[in-house]
Amino acid sequence: MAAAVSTTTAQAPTFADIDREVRRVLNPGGLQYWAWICFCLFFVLIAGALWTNQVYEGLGVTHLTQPTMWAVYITNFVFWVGIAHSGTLISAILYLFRTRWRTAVYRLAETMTVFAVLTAGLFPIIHLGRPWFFYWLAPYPNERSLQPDFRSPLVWDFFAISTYLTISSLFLFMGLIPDVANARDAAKGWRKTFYSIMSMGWRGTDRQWRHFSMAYLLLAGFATPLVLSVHSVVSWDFAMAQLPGWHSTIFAPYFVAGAIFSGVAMVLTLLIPIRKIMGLEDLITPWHLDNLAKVILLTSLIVSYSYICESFMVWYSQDAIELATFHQRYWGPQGYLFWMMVACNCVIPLLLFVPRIRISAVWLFIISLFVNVGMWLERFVIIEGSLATNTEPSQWRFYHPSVTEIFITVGSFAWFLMLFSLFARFLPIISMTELKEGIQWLREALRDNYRRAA
Amino acid sequence: MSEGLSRRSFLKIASAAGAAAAIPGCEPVGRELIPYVVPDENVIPGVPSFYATVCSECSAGCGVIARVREGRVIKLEGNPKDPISLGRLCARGQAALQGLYNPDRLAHPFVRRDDGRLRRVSWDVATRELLGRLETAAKAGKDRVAYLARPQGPTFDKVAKTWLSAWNSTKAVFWEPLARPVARQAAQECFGRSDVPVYHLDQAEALISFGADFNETWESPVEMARQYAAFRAPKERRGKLSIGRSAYVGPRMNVTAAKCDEWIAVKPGHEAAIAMSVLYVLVRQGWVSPNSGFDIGTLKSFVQGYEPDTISQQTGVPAEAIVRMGQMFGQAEGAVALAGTDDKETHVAAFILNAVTGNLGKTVVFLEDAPASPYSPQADVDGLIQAMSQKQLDVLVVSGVNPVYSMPPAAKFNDALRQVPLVVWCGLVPDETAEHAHLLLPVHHPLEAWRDIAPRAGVNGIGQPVMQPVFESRDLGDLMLTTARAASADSKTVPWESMADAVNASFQAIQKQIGDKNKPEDFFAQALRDGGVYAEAKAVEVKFNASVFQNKPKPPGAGPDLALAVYPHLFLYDGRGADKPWLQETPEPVDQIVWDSWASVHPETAKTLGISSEEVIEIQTDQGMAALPALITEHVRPGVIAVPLGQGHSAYGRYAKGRGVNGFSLLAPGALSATVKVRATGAKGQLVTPLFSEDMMGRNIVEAMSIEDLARGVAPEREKAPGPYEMYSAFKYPTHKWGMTIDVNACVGCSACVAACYAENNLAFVGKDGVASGRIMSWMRIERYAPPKDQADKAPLLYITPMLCQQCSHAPCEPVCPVFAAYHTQEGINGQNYNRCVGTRYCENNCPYKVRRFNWYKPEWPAPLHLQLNPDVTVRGAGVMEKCTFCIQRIVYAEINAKTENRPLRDGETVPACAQTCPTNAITFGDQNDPQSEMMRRRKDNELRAYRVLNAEFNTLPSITYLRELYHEKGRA
Amino acid sequence: MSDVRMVASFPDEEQCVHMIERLREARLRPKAFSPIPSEKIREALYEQPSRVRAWVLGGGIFGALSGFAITIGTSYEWNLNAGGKPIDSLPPYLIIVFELMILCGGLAGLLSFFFYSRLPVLDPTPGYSEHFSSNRFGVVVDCADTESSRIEALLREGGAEEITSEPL
Repeated sequence: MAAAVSTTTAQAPTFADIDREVRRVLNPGGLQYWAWICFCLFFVLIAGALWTNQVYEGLGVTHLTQPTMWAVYITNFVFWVGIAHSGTLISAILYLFRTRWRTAVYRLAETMTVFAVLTAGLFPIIHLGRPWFFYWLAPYPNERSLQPDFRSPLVWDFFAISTYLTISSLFLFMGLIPDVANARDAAKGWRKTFYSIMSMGWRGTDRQWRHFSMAYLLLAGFATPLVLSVHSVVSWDFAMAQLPGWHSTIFAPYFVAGAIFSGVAMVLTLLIPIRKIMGLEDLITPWHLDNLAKVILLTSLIVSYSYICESFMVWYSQDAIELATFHQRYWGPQGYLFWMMVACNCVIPLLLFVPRIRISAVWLFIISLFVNVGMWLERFVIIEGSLATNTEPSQWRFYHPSVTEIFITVGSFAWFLMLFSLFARFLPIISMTELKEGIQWLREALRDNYRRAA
Repeated sequence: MSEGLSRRSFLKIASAAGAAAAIPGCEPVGRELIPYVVPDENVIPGVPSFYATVCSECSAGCGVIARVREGRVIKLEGNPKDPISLGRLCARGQAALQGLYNPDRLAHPFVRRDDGRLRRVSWDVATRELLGRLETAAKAGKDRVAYLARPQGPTFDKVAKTWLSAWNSTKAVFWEPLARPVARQAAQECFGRSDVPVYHLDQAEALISFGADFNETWESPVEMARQYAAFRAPKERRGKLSIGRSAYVGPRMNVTAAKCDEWIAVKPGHEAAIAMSVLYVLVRQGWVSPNSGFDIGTLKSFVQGYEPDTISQQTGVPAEAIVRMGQMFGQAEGAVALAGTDDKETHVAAFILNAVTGNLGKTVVFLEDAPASPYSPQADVDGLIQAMSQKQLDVLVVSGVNPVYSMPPAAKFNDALRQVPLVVWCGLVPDETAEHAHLLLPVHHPLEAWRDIAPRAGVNGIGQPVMQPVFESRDLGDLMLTTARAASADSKTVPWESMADAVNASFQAIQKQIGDKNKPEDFFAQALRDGGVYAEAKAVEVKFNASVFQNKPKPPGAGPDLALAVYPHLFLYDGRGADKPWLQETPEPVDQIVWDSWASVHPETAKTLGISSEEVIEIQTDQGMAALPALITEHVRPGVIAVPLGQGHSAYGRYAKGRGVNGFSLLAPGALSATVKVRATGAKGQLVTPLFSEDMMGRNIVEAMSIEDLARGVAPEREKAPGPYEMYSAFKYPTHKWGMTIDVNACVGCSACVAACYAENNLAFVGKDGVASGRIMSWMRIERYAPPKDQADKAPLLYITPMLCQQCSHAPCEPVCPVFAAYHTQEGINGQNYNRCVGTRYCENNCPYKVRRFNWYKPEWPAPLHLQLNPDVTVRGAGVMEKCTFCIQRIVYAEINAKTENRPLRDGETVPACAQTCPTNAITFGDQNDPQSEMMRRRKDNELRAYRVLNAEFNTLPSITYLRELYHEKGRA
Repeated sequence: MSDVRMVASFPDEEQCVHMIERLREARLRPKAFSPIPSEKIREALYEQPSRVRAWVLGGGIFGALSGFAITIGTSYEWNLNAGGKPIDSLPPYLIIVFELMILCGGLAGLLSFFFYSRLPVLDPTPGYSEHFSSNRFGVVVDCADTESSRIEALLREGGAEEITSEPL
């Protein structure tokens, strides 16, 4: 079928081409697809059962220990929040910059954002000692007049994450409206009903577009500082603490760069298989891959710089406790994790300096997997390593994840992939509207050129 | 308003219903109990009653005050009127409650069937069975009934003897494994006395302990630790600020050694030679006191052959160390030598050392009218075993001892026990001996029964029951009296109806003796309130027996290449503490191991023998064999394997059973050391410790300074760290700002504070696995660090100090809590609102001291351990962070008392459990707003020693100020 | 007055814009359908920018103010000392203020967008045809019966592919 398309798009794609391509993807999927969904669901259910057990028994089922009060759960939280960031970067920040290559990938990135935040949002609750009281972190009227402490970075987190989830969901939802309306007009049966409800009666009138454009622009404008603030806030969970290895002023920019780094890598991890499975090679071209790879390369360099900077500051301070913590981080019993992280985050992405690798789907997929692993390790090394080698040498203790923690982590990936896969087959994973806008822009540009030539 | 009233009236009704069942008393004879402080017999819900009684955990005989709430004793504290405890208790005393409420206590009488299984019977059946057998035995002949027990107070022992005589027997054997008969033998030899002297360490300037663990289990730990702290406290001596100089001679560095200036590592058995060599130095240097009356010539010939060089060659102890000890001992004004080994020679040598330096009557005092030894001579024990094995016994009653466990194999007690047709075991938790018994009788815990104690001249304590029995048990004394009365027609032979009666009679005798003119009832009532009758005992002058010098001890020789040193465990002692989770879970302060026994092996020895860390090693003596994990540590002499007693139970309840090895099984009778062969098995064992590193990494956690610097007024450089600063205006504490001063120099690491904290604050125990996964719940720990090797001569032997919540004014834990569960009270306490906690655990991450504890699981107290829970303290559920709050419930209690009495709170009225029980008074608590409080005065008086942990690094402004440990700088005396 | 609704579809944005301008010159009030957000159509039809802008500003200000109110207000209502920090610790509170500003601004934007664009709608929009969401631009104009043929000619002249008319 890809061949059929390419004959028509040999010249320039038309609006109809795009509609056909994207609508083609919106089918219920074959047996393989549902098998994949069930596979994900299976792990989600296992994780759910383990979490139920954890709630019932207490956090003792994890291997968290006295100094290492946070480990895999919070690592997952930061990891998923980080993943979320590149979505907003691509959809909002690049929107404001009118970057053309974003149009084909932004919906996918934005979907990833929403589901990653949804996944991330589970972990603070999973990690709580008494998860049934999680709502105490929110201010709400109560008879005791006792409200959360707004000085706590965890409350900042609560506000930042819930705002981020709300705004990014709104942003995704708004962007979907015209596309869903388009899908509605082509659909039959229950899908028509579903899309009719989702599109809320959108008809693309001039009045609708007028307000839509303004609201979308402003939401993008809001999402931009928000995305920077959210990961800064997440980094302050650590930077605000006095723990050596956490207490560092560079954490906010360092974490934001890391978040975009890991997020773009995750976009590639998702994009490359989807592009292949759904036959979207014509819409998502090497040009897109190349641009994404460049973002990874840039952020990888920023992250590497941050590592060096962090270590330099520790050395420069000559603070005995910080030095000991970092010595343990590099050369301690879990030092191999640090060096794996350096390999994944600083060394392997350097391959992207080679243009041929930047446009190779296979290479990019492999590199993006390494980056994902490396960024997960980065958070783990910072969180677990610093806690394990704390200020009281008598109270050090290294941590190893338990079965519960491992399977809940696996479950979170399954949960994310399941949601994403469902979305990809039921809602337009590529923005038709924006692609058409791009074509329109191309047409006009060509026309202007002709006119100028004439 | 109306709501509050209705709740109160509801409580009144509820309490009236419950109170009738819960009034403390004593069964079977209803006797009036006289509470100590509150003279009201009625139980008022929410208001504790205090009863004075005595501690029966060891032979020291401390008086205690039991705090009783709603009819249940929930906490033990020392009785301030008692001259031995002076209001303090050790960890074992604190844990007595877990003996009382132990879930494995025998709940009913049991009879062993022919197939070896136990059958539950009623008390009637059990008593009838016993009486029948006793009567038959009495008719069969003389001495066919025997009683083997540990001494349980003069009256009780008298009752036991009377009971035996009713069955035509005199075979009462009073024995316990670590009674150290050699000390009395030495006293007999040197002074012709059968008692041991009392020591006044605080009057001394120099101290040498030859294997006496005086800060741990030796004689009277609470009293000794208190004296030692006074000995080590800086004071003006001969116009110079100084602290006592001390040395410990022994194979293992225990906490006693760690708190001394020097640890002279010797092989077990070499202590006597070192003592003789020190004597040699004294004699040669002419440091023999002129008034001691010794003939120098006799002494010189006596010490012949003990030149330090010779002894150094034989024992491997550097000669200069011996000379140094001699100098220190001989030149001191007031010195004391202590002996705690299993050989008589060391004890004799220690007595001679004390005598030649003229310290008899000064630091070593024999008292007039000292009670006779409560223990039977060894011959009686041997005689009993012989009688048993020769089937000359029909009935053996065992009470309070566990001979099957603690008799060495060579004594052949087990074989003998099989020859006894009826073994009656009377006790609490069925132990190894109970496994061999035919009739098992649950008897009262000492806290449920009437007792008296006479640990020394002038001290007569009364143990009164402080609550209704927990189980269907009976008092053994009462049982004996009823059975004896049933047997004898003549009531004169058994003049008492019950133990209460007997104790009363004993105190009437005491009243007569001291010539008190009050009515007997009043006298007894007052004694009950005070916990006993205490009188100043007169010192008696003793004469040294010159014949001692005729038996000169044999020179030691090199000793075995590899020796085993077995020592009583600080908490489990001879094994009796093993059924108490608090004692199992409190880390031994030096090696920090919990819930297990371990073999300390020096790294050099480990290298020679090819032992790796935590490898299981097989220890073979000529008495037996045991396999246990090795702990490779420098706290033991090379060539010595040190193993604590206490574990290796095959019965004795769920907490004791099946962990570690029984040290007694390796020993010959009376010995605590042996020659061993060791084989590394290659199997990996697991030793569990809550401690990760003993390297302080240069951080200011535990600090020390030399007494020389203190005398010169030079503070350590650390003090020059940047001062605290406030970014915002400082918070005002309108009423009180509670604080603590901890004198590290006084802390001996006894861990009584840790146990007291468990008892007061409903801390859960988590077991071996729990500790292994880093989930120990103790709010307080004894921090132990080793000095860096290159600075060993400018540091104490070990850094030991209690570490607990520092109650920071800039608490890092507080602002990170999202829900205000951690917050600062108006009185400066770092509060923790358990009900509000959602369990983010951020606070512990941000705590530089790592003193917050998280409930990983729902804590469990198997019934009836839960009866001990303090109703004033919330029991925390799973998922909640908990921590030290300076025992806020005790502060509030004192504040309410002051308010109802309409007076200001007095200094010293608010005392957290740790400070309350600290035997050395290392912990003082008070109001930082009140510069006159003792706590603040201690800070001010010791300004040069004051430091705050990690404050320079984190600006946390802790409310706890530590006072630096003091040490003697080596080579700069 | 108007009797007939005429709907013309154009394959191209430019033709559509051109037609709108022509119709407006003819003093008619055309409306447009488009599959993409077209700046040119918007400029041809409206002089003022969308009022959503004002709502977002208002929402943002409201959010920021309520952020201040919540943080400072609740801190004073139950005045607890935590870590010796002042009761009104502004720097950390600014984070809450910022997040609430974004949240309220964003919500106001979405809601005002719904409000002004009359979403959701249940009734079918007059003149709408399915290809307007796909690849055709539509112009809708209501006119009197009498004018319909002139308008139709105008539309055809402008390149309309398909013209439907229905009576009102």
